[in-house]
Amino acid sequence: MLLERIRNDRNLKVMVSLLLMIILILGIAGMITPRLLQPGHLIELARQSVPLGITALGQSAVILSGGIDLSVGSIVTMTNILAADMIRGRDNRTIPVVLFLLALGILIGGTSGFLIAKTGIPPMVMTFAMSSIVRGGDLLYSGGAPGGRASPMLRFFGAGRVGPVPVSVIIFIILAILVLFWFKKVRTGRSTYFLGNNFRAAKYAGVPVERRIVFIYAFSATMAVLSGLIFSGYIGVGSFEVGGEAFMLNSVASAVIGGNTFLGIGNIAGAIPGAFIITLINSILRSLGIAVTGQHIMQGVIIIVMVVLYTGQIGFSRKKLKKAGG
Amino acid sequence: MENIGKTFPGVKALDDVGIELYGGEVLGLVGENGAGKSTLMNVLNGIVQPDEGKIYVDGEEKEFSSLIEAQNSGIAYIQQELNLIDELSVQENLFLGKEPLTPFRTIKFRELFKKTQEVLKSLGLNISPREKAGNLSLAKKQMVEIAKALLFDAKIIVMDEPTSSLTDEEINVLYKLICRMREEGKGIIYISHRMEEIFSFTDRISVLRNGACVGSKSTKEIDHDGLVRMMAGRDVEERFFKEETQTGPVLLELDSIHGQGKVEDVSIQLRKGEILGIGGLMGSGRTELLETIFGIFPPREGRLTLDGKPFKPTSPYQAMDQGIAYIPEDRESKGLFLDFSILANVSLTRMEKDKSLYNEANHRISIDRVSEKLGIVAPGLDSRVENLSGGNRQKVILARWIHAGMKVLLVNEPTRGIDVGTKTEIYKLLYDLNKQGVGIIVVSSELTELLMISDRIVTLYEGQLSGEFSRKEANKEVVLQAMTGKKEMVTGTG
Ligand SMILES: Nc1ncnc2c1ncn2[C@@H]1O[C@H](COP(=O)(O)OP(=O)(O)OP(=O)(O)O)[C@@H](O)[C@H]1O
Ligand SMILES: [Mg+2]
Repeated sequence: MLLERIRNDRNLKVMVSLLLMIILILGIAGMITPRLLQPGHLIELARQSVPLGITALGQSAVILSGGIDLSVGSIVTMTNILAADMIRGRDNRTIPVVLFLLALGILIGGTSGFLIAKTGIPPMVMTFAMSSIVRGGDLLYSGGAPGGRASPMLRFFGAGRVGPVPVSVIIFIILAILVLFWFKKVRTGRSTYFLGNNFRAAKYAGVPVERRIVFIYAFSATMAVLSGLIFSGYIGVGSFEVGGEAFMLNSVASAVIGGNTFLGIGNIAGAIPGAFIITLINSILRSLGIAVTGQHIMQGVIIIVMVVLYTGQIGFSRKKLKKAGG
Repeated sequence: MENIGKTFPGVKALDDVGIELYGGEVLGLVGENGAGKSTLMNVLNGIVQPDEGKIYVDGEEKEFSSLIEAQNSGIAYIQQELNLIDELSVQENLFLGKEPLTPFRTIKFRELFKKTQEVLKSLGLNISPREKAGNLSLAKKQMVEIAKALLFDAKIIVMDEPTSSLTDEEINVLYKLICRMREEGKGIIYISHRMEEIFSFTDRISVLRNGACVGSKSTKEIDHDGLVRMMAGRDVEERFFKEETQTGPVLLELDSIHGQGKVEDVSIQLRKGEILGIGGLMGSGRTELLETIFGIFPPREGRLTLDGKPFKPTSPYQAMDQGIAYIPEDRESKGLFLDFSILANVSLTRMEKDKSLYNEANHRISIDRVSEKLGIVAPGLDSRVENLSGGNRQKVILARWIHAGMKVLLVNEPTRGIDVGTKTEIYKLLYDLNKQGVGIIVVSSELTELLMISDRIVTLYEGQLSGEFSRKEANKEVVLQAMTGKKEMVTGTG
């Protein structure tokens, strides 16, 4: 009964494969360095994966709508630099600055979305250009030497704990529940899948497609800002090391490993285990002393393996369907 | 083809089916929606692998595992659903994978252009080989698909509903072509739901019902009623004219609308409970007019009034929100989300209209009712639309709008690809909607259909109104004349 359901429901199947994948990787890691499986370390892993998880939720929405957002890395960097510099360790400035940065994120993402919807400029080009602009703005603002530091309040969100549980993990869980609900039940979120599967048909079915594109890119940028805030709270200072291109690539990888496709096939929830797997692998490779290049190669391999698994074994390619019938 | 059997999860699509085709013959393949016609042809062309059965070509047993293998054995296949790549030009589409090459393996573009021009000309098609396929109307796309099959020299040509969006003029071109190919000794399998074509084009007819072959007859031996009965396995009510109805007040009014493309100075009124038919040739601006009202291309000039209030369609969303529904002719590209379930496909518009949270259980209950009323044949609401037969896909779009509710329904080819029996069901449904006060504008290239269901018919020629006929005035001759632009014949005005 349950097996039958897993076989027929692609999204369920993806989730089950992802959980098995996580268990498998943890198992292998445990054999190499048993210390990795201690509860404390697992919680630390969860904490590490929060910023990526938040960004990957936004990236997944964009990918499901048939686009891609190359600007999230720069937005994370920007958030970190601006937050540290504007807050300068003062609690009473925290909330206004956070609100300002969220508004800035909506403005940046909304602009990308608006231009994509109105001019038909390809998302990859638009968000790449936006990424350049944001990065340039960062350099201009900081003069290449970022300053300032996070306030205690921001530090609490980024690095604090309630008992053994990191506050950022709690924030992530609440945020994830809201986002999943939004993309399942609320039309602005739910229509994302339809845009990706057949943009034209969505328009003809009465979906306000242009507004939705604006929403989706604004959402992705907002998530990147939130992720940058958590980062800032953890690191405590402004730094060009935060976010950037590698982080953006990781968000795409998380979304894709999470089973999301450009055709609206998938589920935004997949981003969560997707981000965890990426964080997990990077952490293992780092503990083995394998350099960044090794991490990139490993990530590429995992993406290919997962995608082949989804399209092949999970039977979503048209060819496989025919064979499955025979 | 012998003893062909094929089962999909939940459906036995083909059961012990055998057909044969001789050289110099046109075989008609008929059956209701979902009878298995396309599946059988997919098996013949290597797109679907059969569970059992054998295929012989020229007496030789063949097993095709792909479309290309079937092509190499001389079979050309015009599929029911269009397969053109919108971003490529017509010439690139025609020669995709078979481009003429120079010794350096680059494409000989001049030859490509010339050959394409020749084929298009032989089909009486007035399009540039360099035009992007995406810019063509559905009818033109369908003609290009036909051209594609003609390009390479096939012995067997399979045509799966090639005329579903063509008007009589193009169908005539196709008819001549088929006659020529028959004389050349080629074998043709012809699938259509248009009975007139089946009777005038074919020599022999094979009938499928629920995946089984219920008989083959020479075309001369059987008449229309007999054939329809064979397809359905029962008597079918067919000539289903609209009763004279009392139509209500004016619901939608167009006042000298200038729209996209050629649409110019069009003024029409649609009353509550009325079906207004629009006749016109390919390229007369029929689709553009409907899409202007639906807000795809907002009107350049002119005024619209809906329910007595000014109405300015600026987007489909806004038109939908005001109660305008539109069923496009091009259902795969403008209508359906093939990878999603029936439930998702149908519930979407209602969700946008209600502006409330999506409640799956509520949608499911109400869509179940609509789907039953329309007779959608599928294992369940969770079946993917890609697995539905052509006619059932059409019903899914209809179900979407019925589920969402509407004041005005604009339909482009309401029964495109729908079988004889189901056509009647769809007409009944339109009349039912009329009774609830919905005003309907129908565009159809089937003149008989237009004459049967419309309370009133207007004709378009080159984007302008060229005639208006009440039910009493309308008949095939006068409407056709107005459609071809013979202005002096125009009778009556609004
Ligand atoms: N890939 C598939 N998976 C599952 N079911 C399928 C698939 N393809 C076709 N079917 C089912 O097989 C049956 C026959 O479909 P087919 O497309 O051959 O009908 P058809 O005779 O061509 O109908 P139409 O006149 O509407 O085009 C239908 O019930 C359809 O839902
Ligand atoms: Mg078919």
